[in-house]
Amino acid sequence: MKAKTLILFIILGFFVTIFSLSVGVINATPTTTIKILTNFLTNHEVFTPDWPSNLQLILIRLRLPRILLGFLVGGGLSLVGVLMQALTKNSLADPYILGVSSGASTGAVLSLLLGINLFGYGTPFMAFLGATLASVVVFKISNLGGNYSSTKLVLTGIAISSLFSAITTFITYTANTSDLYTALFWIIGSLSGASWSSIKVLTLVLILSIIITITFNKELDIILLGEETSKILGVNTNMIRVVIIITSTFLTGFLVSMSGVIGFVGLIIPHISRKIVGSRHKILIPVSIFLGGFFIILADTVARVALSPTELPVGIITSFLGAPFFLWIMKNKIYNFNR
Amino acid sequence: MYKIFLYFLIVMSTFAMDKVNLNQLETTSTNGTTYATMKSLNKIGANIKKSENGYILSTDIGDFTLEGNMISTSEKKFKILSLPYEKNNQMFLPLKIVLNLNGYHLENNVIIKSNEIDTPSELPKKIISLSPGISEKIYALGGEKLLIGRTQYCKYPVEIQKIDVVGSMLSPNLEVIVSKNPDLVLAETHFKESIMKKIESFDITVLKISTPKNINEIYESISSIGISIGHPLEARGLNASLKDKVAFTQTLLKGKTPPTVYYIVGTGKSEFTPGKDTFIDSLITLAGGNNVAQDNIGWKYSLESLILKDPKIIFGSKENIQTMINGENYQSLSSIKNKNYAVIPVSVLQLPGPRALTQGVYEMLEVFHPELAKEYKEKVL
Repeated sequence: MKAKTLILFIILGFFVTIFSLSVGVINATPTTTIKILTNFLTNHEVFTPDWPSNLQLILIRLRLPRILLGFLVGGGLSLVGVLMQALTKNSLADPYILGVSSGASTGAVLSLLLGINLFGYGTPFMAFLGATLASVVVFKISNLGGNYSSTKLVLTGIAISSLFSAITTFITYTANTSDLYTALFWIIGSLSGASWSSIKVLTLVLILSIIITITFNKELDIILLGEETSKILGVNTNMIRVVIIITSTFLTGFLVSMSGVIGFVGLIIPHISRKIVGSRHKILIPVSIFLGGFFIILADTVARVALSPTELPVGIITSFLGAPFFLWIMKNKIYNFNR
Repeated sequence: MYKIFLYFLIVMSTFAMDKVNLNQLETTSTNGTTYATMKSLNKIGANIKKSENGYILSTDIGDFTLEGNMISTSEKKFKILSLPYEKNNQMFLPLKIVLNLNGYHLENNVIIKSNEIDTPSELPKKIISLSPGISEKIYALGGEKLLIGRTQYCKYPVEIQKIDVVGSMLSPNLEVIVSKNPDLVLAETHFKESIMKKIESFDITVLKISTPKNINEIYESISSIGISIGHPLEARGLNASLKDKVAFTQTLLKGKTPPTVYYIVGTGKSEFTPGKDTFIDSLITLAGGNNVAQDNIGWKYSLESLILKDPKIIFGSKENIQTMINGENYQSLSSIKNKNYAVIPVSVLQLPGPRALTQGVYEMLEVFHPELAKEYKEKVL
């Protein structure tokens, strides 16, 4: 990624952040927002507060964690989308479609139902376990007999997805009212549970995943050329596959445990990014992460203000935008990797 | 020295009532209600004085006046049915009401101190209610001036519409809550622990009040809400009044055979009705009905069980009754065949609170035992 592009994205990120921070139940002027943010970041009263103390609390302790979590979740889901699309050579692949998200959410719901705590990491652990189970089953079954086809993969994904959704719905149906609400959170994702501790963990996981995937960016490019070509070029496709599957499953498990299932981001964003910068992973990955992050921040801003004072789960907004986009891809037949 | 003695007397008097046996009082029973003489009540630690138009009851938390059929605090009046009376120069007061107002109740003819939550060290000035049931009780206790936020589902009483909405019951908007700067947020059982912790992290007290699952829990909930919002007198007054009305209902229904009944909460695609662990079930029993779903827990029921039980009376909202009348599956029910069904205004049964316990019971009584409804309405409502 060139320095110029990076600076462009950082500037864009600044504007998105200030906008999302300023808009909500109480609006702040961008100037006030910048002042509050400066005071927070420098930990000094650089600007004398001429705003209500409530506003600062809301901006720093409620909106800022949501924005950061939104960026991490959006970026993470887009990264997983890019990886899965490369892996399956299918532009329809994303963790949502392939059932990995459903597996993770079933795991998360189960952890709450069975009270699995594991030093506070019970939910991410179970989500990861569910995601692993789903992806192992999907990739095993779609590869049975060695004749892998991407149609088979998507169909298997849909089957697994509905199987896991059925389990979650069953748990929901038999649960009492308070568990019901919790289960609903995992079915339609939301960022309302954002906290600094979850952001720290997720930042670490995302950085780790980015390092791994960027290391293999050339191999990812080559995989897209097909099995034969890859072998001729000396790429160990099996090894790459395993690495990618583990990385994306791990990441999906964490993402779902933090925000529930947020659909379609992993599908839309890689497509838009490919349109803008092409399919070379070295640049596609960072661009997808940035765009995915910004998209979720803005979608969550809509979720916060659309029906104010009632908050919508961001998952509704992304699906609302994602489903028509999906149809648009179908209509325009741009589901090939335009290099 | 006399001050110490006086203090000793006061301390003694507040503890004296506890564990006193009923036979230490001069009691008499009138219309099924136990009365005790003012003299004997004062002897065991009550502090009752005759005033011009009635009585003044001084308790550990403040004074009540008992005039006519009203218990009054400085802010609210509550109707009672068991009225004090005078006979042979003796003043007789309704025992249970006096005990309730003092924070006691009867258990096997022994006076026992009722459990109440601790009084908060600082009384709230700005309250947000995150449950329609809690909102109803705040109004019933005269605490509406403190209320600065409610959920979109809090619609009773109608005056509540002018209070600002802070979101839905299960996912309230934290930004709105924080911006309103409340000092107390009241929520019910279902409320998510993580959201509660988050609100608390802004130094806002959050109190979870259990959702009542039976009549006794309604009293407990009223008491807890009253104490936490600084209206403990009104809570005792309201509870004493409600308990008196409930006792009246039970006396009224003595000797009546309860018909088998079924309350439709949902029907058509799947059946929903209150099971034995719901407050509506306890209200049906109070109103002299025999809930056929008493073998069930929760709200989900099955069509097969309903047909098997074949209740004498089916009641519910107009839409639900209509669905059953038009539904092929329900034609074998004798109450549908014999047109033995009734439409009631279901909103009165939605919240486990004072309205359901009086208005709600009346609506059901009118269906189960119509001959008693008129008397109930005149006396209780």
